[in-house]
Amino acid sequence: MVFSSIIFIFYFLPLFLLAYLLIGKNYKNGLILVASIFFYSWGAPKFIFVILGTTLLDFFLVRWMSNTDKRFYRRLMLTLSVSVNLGLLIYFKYSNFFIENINGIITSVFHAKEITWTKLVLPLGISFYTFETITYVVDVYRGIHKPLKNFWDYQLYIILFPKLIAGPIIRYHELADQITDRSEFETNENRLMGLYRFAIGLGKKVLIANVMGEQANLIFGKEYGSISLYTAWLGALAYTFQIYFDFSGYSDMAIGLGKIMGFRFPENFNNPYTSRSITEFWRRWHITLGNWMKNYLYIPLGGNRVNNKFRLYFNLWLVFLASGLWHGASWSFVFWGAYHGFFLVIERMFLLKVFDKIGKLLSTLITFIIVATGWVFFRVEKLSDAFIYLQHMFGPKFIGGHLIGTDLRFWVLFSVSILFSFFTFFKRGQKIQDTVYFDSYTVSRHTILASISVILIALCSAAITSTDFNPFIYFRF
Amino acid sequence: MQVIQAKYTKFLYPVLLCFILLPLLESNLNFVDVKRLNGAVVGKDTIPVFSFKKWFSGSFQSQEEKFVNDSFGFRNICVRINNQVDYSLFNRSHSSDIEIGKNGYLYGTLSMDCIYGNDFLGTASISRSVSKLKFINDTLAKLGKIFVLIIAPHKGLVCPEELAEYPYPFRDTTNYEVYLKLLKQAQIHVVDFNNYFKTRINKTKYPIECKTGVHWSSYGGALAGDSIIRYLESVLHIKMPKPVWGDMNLSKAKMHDIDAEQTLNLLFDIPSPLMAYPTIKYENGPDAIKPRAMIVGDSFYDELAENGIGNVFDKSSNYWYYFTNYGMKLSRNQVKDEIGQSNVVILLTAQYNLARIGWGFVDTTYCMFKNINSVHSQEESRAEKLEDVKEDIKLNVNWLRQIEAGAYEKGVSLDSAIKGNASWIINNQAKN
Repeated sequence: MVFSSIIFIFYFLPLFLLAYLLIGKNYKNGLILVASIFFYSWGAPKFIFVILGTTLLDFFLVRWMSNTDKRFYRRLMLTLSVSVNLGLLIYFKYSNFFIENINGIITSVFHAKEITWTKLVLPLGISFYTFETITYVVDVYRGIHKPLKNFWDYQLYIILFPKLIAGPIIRYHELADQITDRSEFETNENRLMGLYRFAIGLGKKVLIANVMGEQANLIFGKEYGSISLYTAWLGALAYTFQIYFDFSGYSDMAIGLGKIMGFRFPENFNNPYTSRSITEFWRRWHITLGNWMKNYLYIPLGGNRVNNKFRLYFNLWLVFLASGLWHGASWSFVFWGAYHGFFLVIERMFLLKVFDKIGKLLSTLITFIIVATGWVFFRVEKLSDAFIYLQHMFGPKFIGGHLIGTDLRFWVLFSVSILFSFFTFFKRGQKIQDTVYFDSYTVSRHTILASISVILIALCSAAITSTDFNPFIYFRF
Repeated sequence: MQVIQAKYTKFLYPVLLCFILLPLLESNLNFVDVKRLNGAVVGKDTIPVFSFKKWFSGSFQSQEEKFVNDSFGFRNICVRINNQVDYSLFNRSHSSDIEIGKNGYLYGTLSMDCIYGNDFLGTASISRSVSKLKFINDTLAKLGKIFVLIIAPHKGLVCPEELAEYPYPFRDTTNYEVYLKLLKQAQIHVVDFNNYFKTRINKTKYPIECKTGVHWSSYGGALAGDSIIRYLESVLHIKMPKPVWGDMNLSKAKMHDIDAEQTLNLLFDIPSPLMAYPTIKYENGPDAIKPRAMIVGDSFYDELAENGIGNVFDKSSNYWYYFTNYGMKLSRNQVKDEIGQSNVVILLTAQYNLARIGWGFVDTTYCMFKNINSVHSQEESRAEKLEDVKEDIKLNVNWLRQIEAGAYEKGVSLDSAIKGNASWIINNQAKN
């Protein structure tokens, strides 16, 4: 069940919110837990047992760890918990990839028979919740926060439905206290602001990302050998906007839903396409993943405090290779991670200084082009095909040709995508955004936002029910 | 102020909650009579049945999601909202049959292809078809019967200034042009309403085309009916019952005049000028004769029928919609019986239906008269057709140039591009 589906918007959500509003304070967590288990089971009925089982194991490992002062046992529990969680992630996510590559070597080099293997299905949201389980054990190990006393509270932290499937990845210590008490934030003001945020996210996903996605699918579905320069760029840009509005829209919906329940989820996006460098881009794109990688991988590797620069560059690159691989088990994702890692390294070496000198506009434009080019690796399944596609973007055989599938609706929404992607490039835009998202509301502002939300929900449900095209990119991660 | 705000938010949140609850309530209580969608399959989908096996396989969930998506409360309004937004803001149609032109003018999708020649059959193919028509015409003449081919007007030709920009390459000739030329050479009785309508489009008292309909307007159809009767009188050398025009009802567009608009399933009506709906009676004079007719036609005949044209024909006359009888194509024996009883055989076709002229009538009748078994499509092999279309492409400079540009873009040879285009046309003809 995706947030942008009729069954969620008009059935699950209103029934849940009504019950949540009416139920007593002591039962609210129980209600969220039941709703979350139902929500997850709906999409992955078999894997609910995997998630319930691993959380049970984690909970007790962490409890044992916190009950002992002996370093050896603490480390043992930490290693066990991380190994189990990462092991499951590796098993479900990377086994197919590993076997495929082994088979490739076996058949091409040794001319032997392939290993027979039943392909595994990826449990929904495993990449997200595995990272959260790791933060639980690591945060407790590091003494950042005490463990939860009640198993069901821990279960709630992991399975909380707004962020379960596609984040934001919330570190344990960021949410721990809110699980036990968030009554201060359960106000009508927050409920309304959460609902507005949900509607805005829904609009970003359905009204913009889906239209961009249709165009991207049309172009990326063509034979790459036959596309012109314009078409290749249009496809890359359409996908660039699709993935941003798709994922940031989903994050908005998650943050909004959390807010309705009184949770304060961390922001996941901050206008990434206005970044002046790849380093800045990663502070603005999928912020919670970036923070996780920084705190649970980069810093343990030594972070910035390493003895020599090459080690620093290696660490940076390694983190981005891991980030690429986290997104998906294919060489395209690995390359995409390496591509970003490469730019981060050369930015540290000299490029950041160049970006500073050439000014805001030019550096933003160059960064945007680097990012958009990178999305081609993300979008095209086979690495070799991605390079063919890039040849048409940068070494075109034909410049002209028809721009396939482009109609007035596409161009209008393409312009809207550009507008909202670069909205905060100017200070005024940033101010407007802050006002909408974070400032407290007056009565008239509530009326305006409530009206906009009603219109957005109506338009989105109208669009959803009229088309079969409603994918969500980050679902498969 | 803070008190007011607190009261307001306390009130506003439940209101918004009620808003998202409404579809669920409506789907269970049906408290609002929601206008149904035209062209939608009527009848509730089956409610998915729960079982643990289906739950764990995920099939129940996907069935339930589909069921809810297709049947939730106010869905029809949602569909209309989506259609209206796309129509009003982006000139976009959600009906595969309807193209949106300028100023609210609607056109049939098929008719767009026909006007730009993208359904062009090829000169050789049309020539063969006309030869068959000529044979039918001459055989009927020997039997003392008259064959008349009526070509209904094409809205795109009558009101070309309102056509939308055609996104595909187009050709410099069309089925209509080639058919008309060859039919004239073959001396077949043809009533072509295109020129008639084009010269009268802004001169008649009431609109003869409606911007929201695919066909001629009710008034336009009445004028056409009048002309058809006069033409039949001249070729049959008889006097037929005379149409007498009574009251003219003026109203906003309705019935066939909004058939294209209805297909769009919009929230609001498209504004159109007042349309005229004539009342016509038929006077049987002392010397009036009602010929027995066999009529094969498409939906353009519907307006003629509604205006009562059937009154000028013998009661036993028959109209075969798309050459079918209860959905089945007429058999050779049925055609034989029909023709045997008739004084006049009328084939009425929209211009866009010239690509499939007669819908089987031509081949069946031709084979029946020739006393052969094989029909056109078997007789003419795909290879022959392909060569015909390839030849046409090569002879058409504009068309050839467009294919050349496409070949360059795709990096394929010109010959292969010509073959590809010809194959596409033939496949499309087969589909239609």
